[in-house]
Order: sequence, then structure tokens, then C-alpha cells
Amino acid sequence: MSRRYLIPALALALAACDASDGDEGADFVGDAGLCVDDDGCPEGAVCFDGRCVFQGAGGPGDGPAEPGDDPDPAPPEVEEELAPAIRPAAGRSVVWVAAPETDRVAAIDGAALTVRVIEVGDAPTAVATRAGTDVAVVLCRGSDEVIVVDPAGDGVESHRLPGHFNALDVGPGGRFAYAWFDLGDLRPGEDASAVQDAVVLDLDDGRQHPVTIGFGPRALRFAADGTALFVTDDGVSIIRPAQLDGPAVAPTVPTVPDIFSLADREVALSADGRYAASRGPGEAGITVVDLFEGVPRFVDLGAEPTDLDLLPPDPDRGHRALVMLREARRLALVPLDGVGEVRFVELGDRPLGSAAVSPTGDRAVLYATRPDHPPAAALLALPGGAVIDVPLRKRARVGAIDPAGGVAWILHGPESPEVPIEPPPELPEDAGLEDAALDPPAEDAGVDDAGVDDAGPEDAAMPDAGLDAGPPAEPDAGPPIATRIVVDPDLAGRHGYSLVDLDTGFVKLQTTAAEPYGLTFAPGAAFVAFPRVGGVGPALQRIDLVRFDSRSWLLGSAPEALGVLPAVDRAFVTQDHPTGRISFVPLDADGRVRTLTGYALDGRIE
Amino acid sequence: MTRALRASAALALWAALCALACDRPPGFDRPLDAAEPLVLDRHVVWPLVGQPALFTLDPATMATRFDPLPARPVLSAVSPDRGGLLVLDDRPALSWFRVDAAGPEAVFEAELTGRYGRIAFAPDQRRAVLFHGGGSAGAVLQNPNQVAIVDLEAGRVVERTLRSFGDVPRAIVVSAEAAIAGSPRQLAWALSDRYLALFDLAAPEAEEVIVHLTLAGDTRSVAPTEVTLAEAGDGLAAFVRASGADDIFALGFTDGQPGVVPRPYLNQLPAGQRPSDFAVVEVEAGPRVFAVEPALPGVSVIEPTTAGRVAVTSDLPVSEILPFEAPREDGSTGHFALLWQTGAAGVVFADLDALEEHRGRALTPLVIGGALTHVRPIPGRRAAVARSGPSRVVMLDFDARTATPLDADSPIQSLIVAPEGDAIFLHTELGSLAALATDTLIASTVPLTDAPADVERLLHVPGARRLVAVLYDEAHGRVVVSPDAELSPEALRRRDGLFLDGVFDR
Amino acid sequence: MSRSMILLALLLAAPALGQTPEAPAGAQTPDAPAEAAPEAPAAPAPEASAEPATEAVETAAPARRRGRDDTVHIAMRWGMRLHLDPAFDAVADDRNHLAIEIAVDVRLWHRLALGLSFTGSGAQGELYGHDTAWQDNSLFLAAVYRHRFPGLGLATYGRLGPTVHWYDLTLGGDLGPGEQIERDPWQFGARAAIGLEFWPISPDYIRRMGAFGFGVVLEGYYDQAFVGDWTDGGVDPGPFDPSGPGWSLGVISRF
Repeated sequence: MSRRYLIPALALALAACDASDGDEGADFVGDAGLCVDDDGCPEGAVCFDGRCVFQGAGGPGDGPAEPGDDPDPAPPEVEEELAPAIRPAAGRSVVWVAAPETDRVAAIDGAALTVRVIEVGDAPTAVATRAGTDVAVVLCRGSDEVIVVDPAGDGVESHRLPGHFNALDVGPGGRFAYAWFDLGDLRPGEDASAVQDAVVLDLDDGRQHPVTIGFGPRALRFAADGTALFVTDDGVSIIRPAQLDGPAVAPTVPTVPDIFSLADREVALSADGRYAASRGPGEAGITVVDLFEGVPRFVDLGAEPTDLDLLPPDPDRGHRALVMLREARRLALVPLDGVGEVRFVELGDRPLGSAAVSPTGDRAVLYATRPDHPPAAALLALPGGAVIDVPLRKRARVGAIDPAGGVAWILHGPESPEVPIEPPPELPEDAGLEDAALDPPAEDAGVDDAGVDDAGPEDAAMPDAGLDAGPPAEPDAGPPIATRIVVDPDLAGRHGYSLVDLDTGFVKLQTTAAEPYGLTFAPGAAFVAFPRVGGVGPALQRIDLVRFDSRSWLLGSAPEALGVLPAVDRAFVTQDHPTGRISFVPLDADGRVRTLTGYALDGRIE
Repeated sequence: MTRALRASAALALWAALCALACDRPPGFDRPLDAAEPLVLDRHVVWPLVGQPALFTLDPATMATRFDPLPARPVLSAVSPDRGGLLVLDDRPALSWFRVDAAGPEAVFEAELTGRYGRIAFAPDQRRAVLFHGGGSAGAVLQNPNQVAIVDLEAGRVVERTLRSFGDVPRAIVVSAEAAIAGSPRQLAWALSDRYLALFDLAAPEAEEVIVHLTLAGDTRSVAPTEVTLAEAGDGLAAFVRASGADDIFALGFTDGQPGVVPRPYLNQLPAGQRPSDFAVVEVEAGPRVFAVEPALPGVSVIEPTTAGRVAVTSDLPVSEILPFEAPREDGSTGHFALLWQTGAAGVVFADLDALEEHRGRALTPLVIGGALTHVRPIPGRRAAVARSGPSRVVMLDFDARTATPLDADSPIQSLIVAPEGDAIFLHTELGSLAALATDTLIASTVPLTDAPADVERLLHVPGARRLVAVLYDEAHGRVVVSPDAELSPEALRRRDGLFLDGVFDR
Repeated sequence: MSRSMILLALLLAAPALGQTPEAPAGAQTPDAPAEAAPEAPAAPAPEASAEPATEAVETAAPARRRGRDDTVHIAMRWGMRLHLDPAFDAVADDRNHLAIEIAVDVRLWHRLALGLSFTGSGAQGELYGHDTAWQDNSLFLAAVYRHRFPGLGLATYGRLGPTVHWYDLTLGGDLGPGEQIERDPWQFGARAAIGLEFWPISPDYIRRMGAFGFGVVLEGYYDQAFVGDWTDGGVDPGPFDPSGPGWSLGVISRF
């Protein structure tokens, strides 16, 4: 599963509040249920978390026929969202945008639509805000300093860094800023000497604490108590900033026993910073590490995991990981603290390989991303473990669940309609399988006909009599068994997304002219942006997660990055424009988009 | 014998005394060199550059006045209310005259250090800005970025140099005095290629604010050509149109201190492709910027706060906009505009209140026939006068959406609209003068001269209710003065040698 | 200037002198005034000279009286006129300009004569770069009172009377149909003059001259104009008073 889409999902997962529906604990018992188990539901319905959800005549388990196992276990890479070169940082009511070419940052007030441009050091590239404030912390890549700017005041506070860094994050408390070097953002000729260094800057008193971390940090995550966790190739480097006093080496906890297999791993960290789980290619299980203990522990799951997510901690069941085992057609709920058993949930024939977990921890969306499989998705009710099918019309690429846990958003992409959706007909028992392989079955004869001959299968088999095949195939094999879900050829080539109601399993497919990206959740809504496609201009779309409708605003230029300013009830989107362009829309659907263009020129007002 | 000798000696002495005392005033030895006449409210003033002096004619009474000037006048300009005259001479210094019924009275003089070629008045004529404008000459070393801010009431001049970023001020626009950013200010905008300088005439010594219209590495030529100050959203904002730019720059002001030029923040409002003209009108829905886009052709309605743009296409080519107000059927005041382009076959009436919503339905084209030139609004009336062809005048009535053509007997040389809007004056190639009442479209005419090619220009002096036709003259000024209504040959007053009027008194 | 003018006057006056009626053969010799002079040395000069002149004339041919001033004086004078009004500065560089006068006066009774003279004067200049021209032609009808000093060969006279002027002012340039700023065709004025004559060739010195005399005259005068406004078609250059004094020097002959 792609990292880039994982990040927002993971961030949501880790930032989710701890509250989860209190479950009685016993399986298959819902809170206000219409049913207790499947027997309490009419035929064709499944008792899904206390409610009966119709699943069809076949019932669960009668999935689509398999054309055969695909030897490639890993799902293909999902396209990442466009990562703009300069990401804006959202404060409370101010959006900070760095303008490296003018050595300035612009503070754009979302309510008043005014711009204040402040000169900082050379080439500011990364901006972050202190939590709960509009104060920005800017990393100036050209002059190796961190500058703290307050939009109200006039002064800028400059802190010169001991080395060259290219990434900056601010901890959840807003007190500490972390400068580190992201190898993935390395520019040609750039000074990469700080590849294992990080600097923790105490924004309150200005002290800097250089910390040595593992090699090649890929991401920086924060636990709820402010602990910084660097995901590196050596493992997870743990920094407790409040305890720092001068230079230090961060304890790095390996996430696998084999230190040479640390690359190419997917690592998931729990919200409280206690546990880390990871999976790697070729391993038939996950590795769990208690970061306090530091000893990785392999949990054998019998099949190679295709996706790994951490569930929010449950008061009864503790920390658990949800591991998708596509080849085994099941998923595993693995307790991270070693207490309790691994619990498997069978998925029947569903070839589901990816999962997205609700931040509330009571739902997960399971979906298949492989291009040669028909669209498939299911909902998992936790802690019950009931699974119901969700009728996706197009193949899922990636999914995310909104912070309130009610709706899943699934991205689709254009696909070729030539996906073989009709499985070969069932062959009679006595037909030699090898012969059938040499001799093309009657299905091919139908293809040769091209509508001219309507000779029956037996006639078509005649020209093949030259081959020394076995007895001719049995006529009247019957029409091919259609799969339950058919991809409409007209819809196949379109972009779009689906909204899945996590309670009822209702799905709404929304096709779009262009690929949506930049998914950002806001209370009750989600925002995506569309680039320009053909005659349809770039747009920002607000998706109402309650009513499942959407509203679009046309933008003037290609959108780059989205964000939300909750304090002024606005969402913003920065756009690609030579002099800078940002648009603000109200969080509710009423209102017009307000656009400010040329804020880079504001830096040239002198 | 002695008596005779004494008599002849007395005669000789007296003759010698006379010879010494008879010094001819030097002005008589210099040519007149009359410059272009300046029309004031009740007078016409010719700066006589060679003298130097000002020659004033009151066309109502035909009284003249000759006022010597302290130095040779280089540049003269009339204030917007036509009641004042600012003269720059080559000392260099400036003189400010207020013109009352008797003629120009000097109010104050001030020495200058720079030589200026252009004058921009504030709309309330309390202040003026002098700048180089590419027109002045005569100094060994020029500072083209130097401006002089003149407080005409207080009689004070502050000369400063504006910061330059590769160009000189090509034009200066002065806006009306208004409360901006917390205190009353009178902003002036110096327009240069790719930037503009903003300074405050109420605080002339405060440092100017430079607003760049392009990024540092951008070498396009984006020259601001039009600045309008209008109410938009919260407070006054300035809207700048620049040639070479597709946007209209909105400069808003947040806060500032008195005595310091406020720093604006900039928002580029997309206005389609190379807008050629724009107007900011407060319609029902709020303030809107109407930008005319010749490339569409059409007009864009831009909301300044959200930068949302609605492009409306028109059937006829348009490149200029003329907003006006007219009553609607229900009695309320509606906002309309006339859209036109020089050389187009017609004009378009736009209902500005409805343009954003109804789009093309809010545009009404009116084909006039013939290529249109020189559309000019008639003040005080919802009408305009246009020229279509060399000898045709078209009266456009906005209420009735009609165009009435009027044909002259020969090509029209010049056309003047009275400031009250009640009449239009023109003179033709055959030497006739016509006064057309705009309400009734009845014209009275009179042949001006026997030699029609003599008429150099036609002037209208509204306070004196006279028309003054200035004839070509190499020597001493020739005019024909006529009342501006009910023209008749008997009422014509011709003066040949006008500047010799009262020459014996000089 | 004066010398060439005097020479020119002499040259011009030569044919005039030649054309003056020849004094009769028995014209008065200079002896007569010389005889008369010692006889009445203290008598008032005019009377003293008048009587013997009268007697001289009586003894001569009946048409002439010897030793007596004849009735006719013809003079030609050149001089300078000054315009007192500064307005004339607009017309010419210098307020002085040349005036030429031809005067004839005829004695009526005793010392009184009636004179008629024609004065022509003009000036040229430049105003605002264009040529100007000023012409003043006048006729002067004067009452002349002349007193002779026979023994000195001098005479003084005074003239007083009205004048009639024709003024012509052109201020130059292309003024159009009414180019010249004119006044009404003629205007009245007045002139008073005082002059001094010196008769080197006269019966005072040359007996046989008879009444004929030829001399030099110097005169100073004041010419007063009664003019109002100068306007032409509405252009009013302002009031201009061409009055002013003048002097002239010329030749005079009497017979």
C-alpha cells in the first residue's frame, strides 16, 4: 500500500480520539440490534453489527469465481496524491505559504483575505504552525535557519541550525520543532551530511538539542504525549523532547529482528507511541515491537500480509493491528501487547487486500486494488467481525475514512474495460484438462464467428477436428456465468470516487472528469480538488458526508494543496499561479469561493 | 543773442534728456509667441511665452488683460474647476493664479529646483503634483523621478525624488481625499512600467510605497494605465489596470498611521485577456469590477472580494465602458453602461445590475451604421454623442436605446460638449459653426469666416456662454467670438490683432 | 544727421532761390538798412527797421519796398518730434522721430502773418517681431508773430494755431481685412512754436538783396493732439496721445 496515501490515513488513525463505542465484548452481539446473529435475519441478509444487511441470494462466501491465483502477491502501487513543492501550513485563521524565490513567507488571513508578507531567511521551503496558534515556524533551506514568525507581531526570531536540513515538523504541543533531513527530497548537489541528524528546537526558550537518529528517516510521527518517533531504516528512533538536554543519541528500536531487512517495510505506530508493527516483503506475518521493551517479536500469520493498520486502542482488547491476508482470504486481528490470541476473520472468496480503519475503531473498509480483479469491497464490523459486501462499481485504488467514522471515501481510477470479467465456462468432468488447454474451448469459436456464422459450438468444433484432441467438448455448456459485479464499459474509463456509508453499506459512486486528489476531511464534509481536464476547468469540490452530495467551485488555476482553517470555518486550496493564488471556501456549502491572487507580489511591496 | 543761445541750449538739453528717458520697454522687442489658449470658466488665457505675460480675454465683454509674468512660462495648466491656473516658468519656479471675474490674480509663487513637464491636479484642486513626464527640458542634468507636491492652499512645495526601479513616472493619478486606513489621505499614484509608487499628498514628506506588478525575474512590460479608487468590501480599494496584464490589481488597505503612507496588500483579479478598460460600480449585489475584454469580445463581471469572474460575450466588438445611472420602470435607480469600440458598427448597452445573473440577456446591441469614433458622454443626461464618419454626428439616447444621426454639410473639424450637457458645439470644414441643443436636437448655425481653413480650434467658455474660434495667425492673434446659443452673424465679434488690444498701455 | 540735411536743404533750396522773383534792379542795397540803422539806433528795432525798409521799398519800384520784410516767408525745416506718451514705445524704438515741414507765411499786418505749413513725420519700428509704421501728416494754420532784429540779421517768431492731422498707424503682421489701426480720417490739434531765424543773406547785410533774404531757422514747438481712442473693428490698443514737443532746423527764405 502506498506510503503517501497511508500518511493521511495513518495520521487520522493516530490522531483519533480514544473514545470508541463501548462494546459489551462478546462477539456477534450488537448494541441496539435488530439481530443477534445471522439467524435473526431474513434470508440473504447478514447480521452486521446488530443490523440485518441484505447481501444477496448467495450469502456470504459465494464470491465471484476466480480465474486463478495471481502469482504477484503485492497489489500495484496506488497513485499518490500530488505533493506540491511548497505545502502551505494552516494555523487557526491564517494560512502560511512560503515563497522561496522572494525569501518571504505570506500570512494569508482566511477571514479578511488580507496578506501580510514577512521576510525570512534564504529559500524558505517548509512551514509549520505551532498547534492552536497562528505562529509559523519556517525552515529556510538556503540559510539553514529556523525562523519563528508571528503574523501579529513584527519581529522574526531566527535560530541558526548546526547543519543543513530539508524537513521541518512541529510537535503536537507546539513547543518543539524538529528539523531533519528527508532523503526522499534530496536535490542534486545538496548537502546531505545530516542524513542521520535531527535538531530539536525548543521554541519557548530557543535551545537547540541535536539528536542522532537512525539512517534515512522517512517520516516523523508524534505520540499523543509529544514523543517524537522517527521512522528510519534502522528502526524507530524515539525522542522524548522534554527530557532532552543538549546533544543526544535517540534510542532506536529495530522493528524487525533481521536488521538487514529494514528497508521496504511498512511500519505502523500506535497513537500512544508504545507499539510499532511492521510487515515486509516475503514475510508471512508481522513484526510487533513494544517500543519500551525494544525487542521485536514476529507473529506468524500463515500468509504474507498485504496491508497493515493499527486499530485505536480498545479498553478491553488493548492495542491491535488489523492485517490483511489476501492470499489466505482472511484478515487477522493481532494484539500488539502480546495479550490474547490472534483472531482471524474469514473473508470467504473475497480477494480483499487493503484496509482502511475508522478512527473510532468500530469499522474497517476492506477493498481490493488489483487491476485484474473485479471491483470488490467489504465492511468489517469491529469488534464483532461481521463482514458485509459493499457493491463497488469500480475498482478501488485507495480508501480513507473520515474522522467521525461514518463514511469511507474510496478513490477509483480509469481502467481498461477489457478486464476479463467473464470466467471460462465450466467444463464437463470428462474433458481432458490438458486437451482443453491445447484445444481452444468453444468460447474461442464464438469469437471466430464474428457474428457471421451462428454455428453452434459443435459446428465450430469441427474445424478443429484436425487436431488430435479428445472427444469434442460437450455441447450446450450454457452461457457463461456472469459475475455478480460487472464494470460498465462506459464507466470504466472514468475517474471518480465512491462514498460508503459505514453503517448501512450503501455506496454512492461519483464519477468525475478528472482525478480527484488532495482529500481533506472537515467536520461533516470532505474536500477534493480536480485539475483541468479538457474543457472542464480546475475545481474544488466539497463532498457532504451526510447527504452524499457534492458542490464544486471552479478555480482559476490548477490546484496544489488543500487544507482547513477550522477557526474561521474555511477550507483553502493553493493553486499553481506565477504570483501565487489561494482560494477559500466556507466549510458549509453556502457561500462563494474567495480567491486571493498575487500574494507573492505582496512581498514586493516595499 | 544770449536769449537765443539760452533757448537753443535748453532745447538741446531737453532733447538729450528725452533721448535718455525714452527707454522702450523690452517686451516690445520680443515676439509674442502665444502658446495654446487655456480655457477657464469665464476667460480664455494665452500664455505669451515671448514676453513673458498672460493675455486674458473675457469673451462676454471682450475685455482683455495683459499681465506680465516674472519669467518665461514653460508649462501652464488649468485646474479641474477651471478657476485656477498653474504656470511653471523657467527660473524654474511656479506661480499659482486664481481667476476671478477680472482675470488671473496671483496667489503665490514658489521657487523650484527641478524642471517639470507635466502637472496632475487633485480633483478638489487643493493640491497638485508636478512631474517630469518626459516633457521637460532645458536643464543640463535631469532627474526624471523628481516630483513636486504643491499644496495650493497653503502655498507650500515639497520636492522629492521617488525611488525608481528602472523606469520613470509616466503618469500620475491623484485620487480624491478620502479616509483610508484610518485617517484622511489624498493618495497619488505614479505609474511606471512594472510598478507604481504610492504617496500621500497630505503627508508629502512620507516615504512612498512601491508596489511591483511583476515578480523580480519577470521581464514583461506591464505598464499601469488606469487607477480607480472605489469602495469594495471593507473600505476603499484601488483598482489598477495595466497594459500587458490579464489581471486587474486590487490594492486594499488594512491599517496605517497618519503621516505614513499605508502599505496596501495586493490581489490580482483575473479579468480575462488584456482588459482594455474597466469601471467599478456598486450595483445591487455589491461592488463589482466590470472589465471590458476586446478579445472575447465582451465584459467580465468580477467580484473584488472573492475574485469570482463571470465572462459575458457581446455581439459587437467592445473596448471601452461608460457607466451611467438611469431610472428603471419601478422608479429605482439602475446602473447601466455603454460599451463601445472605436471603429465598431454599433454600441452595446449593458444592464450592470443584471449582467452577472442574466449574462447575455443583459446586453442590448445597437447598430448605428458606419464606423464609430469619439463616443463622449453628455453630462447630466443619459446620452452620449458619437461621430460616425467625417461629417456625421450620432446622438445616443440611453433611455430609449436610440441613435439619431445628424449630418453636417462638410467634415466636422471639432466637437465640444458643453459641461452642463445642454448643447454640443461643432465647426465644419466649410467654416460654419453650429450649436446643437441636446434636448431638442435643434441646431443654430452661423458661417464663421470667409476663409474656412483659418479656424485653428474651437473653444467653449461656459461661464461666459461664449464660443471662441481661434484662427490661424502668425502675428497678433485672431479670434471670432460668438454667443453659444442662437448663433447669428450679427452677434459675431471678430478681432484681428487681438493681442494688440491695449498695447499702448503696456 | 543735421549737416547732411542742411546740405541737402541747400541743394534743394538752390533752385528755389533761383526761382524766387528777382529783386528789382533798383533793389534795396544793403546801404539802406545800414543808413537807417545809425539814424535810429535806440528806436525799437522792428519799427526802426520797418520805416527805412518801408521807405526803401517806396523809393524802389512800386511793386517792392526796399529794406522791408516782404510778406512771404517760405521755410523748410527738418527736425525731431518727441512723443510724450509712453504708448509710442509700442510703435517705434524711439519716441523721437523725424519730421519735415514746409511752411509758408504771408504777412498781413505789421508783424502778424498768416502761416500755413505742412508737416510730415513718420517713424518705423518693430513690435513683437513685426514691422510697425507711423505716419503723421498735418496741416498747420498759424498766426505768426515775427519780430526782426535787423541789425543782427535775426528774427524771432512765434506761431500758434490749429492743426489738422492725418494719422496712420500700422502695427504690422497679418491683421486681416482691417490691417491698419486708424483713426477717423483727420483730427484736429493745435501747435505752438517759437523760432529763431538768422538771415545771413538778407538786406541786413547785403544792400542789394532788397527784401529777399535767405537764412537758417531753428524752431521749437509743441504739438497737441486732441485724439481719443484708436480702435479698429474692436481691437483697442489703448489711448495714445501723439502730442509732444519737437524741434526743427531748416532754411528759410523771404521775399
